[in-house]
Amino acid sequence: MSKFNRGTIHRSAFALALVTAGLGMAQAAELPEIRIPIQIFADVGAFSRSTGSATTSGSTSSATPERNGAFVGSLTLFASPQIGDHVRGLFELLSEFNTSGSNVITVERAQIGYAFNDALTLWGGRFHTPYGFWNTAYHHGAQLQPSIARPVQLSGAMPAHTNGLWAVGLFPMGSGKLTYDLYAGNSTRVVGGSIDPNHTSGDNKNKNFGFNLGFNAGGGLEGLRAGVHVMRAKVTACASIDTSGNCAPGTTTTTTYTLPNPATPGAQVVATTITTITDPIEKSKVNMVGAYAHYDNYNVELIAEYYKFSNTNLVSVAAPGYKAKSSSGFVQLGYVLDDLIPFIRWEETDYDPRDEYFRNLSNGKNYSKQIVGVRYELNVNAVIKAEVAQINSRSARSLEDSQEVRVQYAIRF
Amino acid sequence: MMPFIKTSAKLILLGLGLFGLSANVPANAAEIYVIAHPSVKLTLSEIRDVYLGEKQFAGSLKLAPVDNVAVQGEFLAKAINMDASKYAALWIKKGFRGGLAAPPVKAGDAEVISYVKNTVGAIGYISTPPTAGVQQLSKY
Repeated sequence: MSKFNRGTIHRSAFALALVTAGLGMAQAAELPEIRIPIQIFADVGAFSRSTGSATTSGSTSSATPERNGAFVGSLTLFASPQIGDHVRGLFELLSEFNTSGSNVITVERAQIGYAFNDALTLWGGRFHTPYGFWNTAYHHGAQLQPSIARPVQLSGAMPAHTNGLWAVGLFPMGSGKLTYDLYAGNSTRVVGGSIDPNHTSGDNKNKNFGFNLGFNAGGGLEGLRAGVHVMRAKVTACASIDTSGNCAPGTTTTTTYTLPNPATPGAQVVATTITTITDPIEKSKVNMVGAYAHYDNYNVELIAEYYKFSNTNLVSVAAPGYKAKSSSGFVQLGYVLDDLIPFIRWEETDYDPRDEYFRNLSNGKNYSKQIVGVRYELNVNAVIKAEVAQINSRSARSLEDSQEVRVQYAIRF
Repeated sequence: MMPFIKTSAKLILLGLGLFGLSANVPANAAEIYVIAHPSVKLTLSEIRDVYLGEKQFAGSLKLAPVDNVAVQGEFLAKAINMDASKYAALWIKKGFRGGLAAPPVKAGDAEVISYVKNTVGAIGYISTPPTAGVQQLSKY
């Protein structure tokens, strides 16, 4: 049995034993074969981040260490049961340490599907939102990911997960395949600066939906995948949620000022009341269109993704009704030298500072980032990576200028 | 976004320029016979799609491919134009994104023939001419 297939557990023999033991609840031939491929992804590494801070004279001081040292990355347990010919599941548990040092275990994916044929598999549950290529191909699979750091713009600035329905399939077209992903789910919300895909149910009538239309080339261009993606959502943003799980309406503060009555000096006062709402609920309509390409053969790896946003501030304190134009994108190119793959990546965002959707997100900031790195594949299940990165600030709502150095050892078994 | 678009265009062009280098897949002189259960009808390109995870059904019939560890390298080189590492990596990625399971691996010709003979939708490959009870789909 090959290395990548060792996780498969056949339960049909166990099911057959139950039948022959006299339970008599079903004929052996009627029991579906159950295979449960299990994979575990884990990674460790080290990290250093320095920030270049501006001085009062306008020059930039030497970089000062901000965070550095060893890190334990994510531990991902991944199972994809195949139950008979058509029924399948996909479950992923993720354990990782957050920046405050606490260990967090999350259900990264929990989806159950039915494969009608090659043209249609219908999934229900929580899944990776199928925009672009990176989000569904790598996500928390550190050993699969062609770099250590995920593009910043894909880390908390877009709804990476959807709770709902996802139809996926492909059709032969010439020497290639036309693929599609069509999905709809609970409306995303932003709570305390972080994206929340509304796990248990939507807190409003709005739904996220989108599609991804792609083409897997064949023939001389085999290994090339290119496509377009569209996503629409109405996003509610708030500072916290209330006891019923809905966005808290913010804190209303009423302040009464007493002023001397100019009509009767020194004798009476006039009360003036001013009401302010801290952390009000805001709403945005998010419209995203874009394109992506991925190419992977024995010599070259290329990933490029572009996202164009035409967002509208539906409910906003600062800029109600404002229509914002924002964009983001990245391109990564690697050259395969047997087991050694040097790579470079350019990332950039251009979020309108009055775009409430990005303004309400902690990670919805502008930046450009350049990465140079190298990946050494020990075998198909283990990889060592190293990369250095320069982050350059942009004009408004920007990440700081900083430098990062990372090394990572990632395995899958 | 202009610097980003210009840089992206340069990197994409560089990638396409590097594309011209051909893959180096080992070849082998042994003959490989692709066999299937009598219920299965597939073309040559469809056989390849099955082992690349892009074809799981033939009409309403669920296909059940198996690998043969004894001649997997030869089969991959001749029928799929891929080496074993690339093939393994492909299925890991297929599993991670779409929950697909790689074909089960059989130890040799006898196991493959037995499985194919007794499993509706089965497809496999062996190094000897097929016996009764299975059909030959192609020979490499």
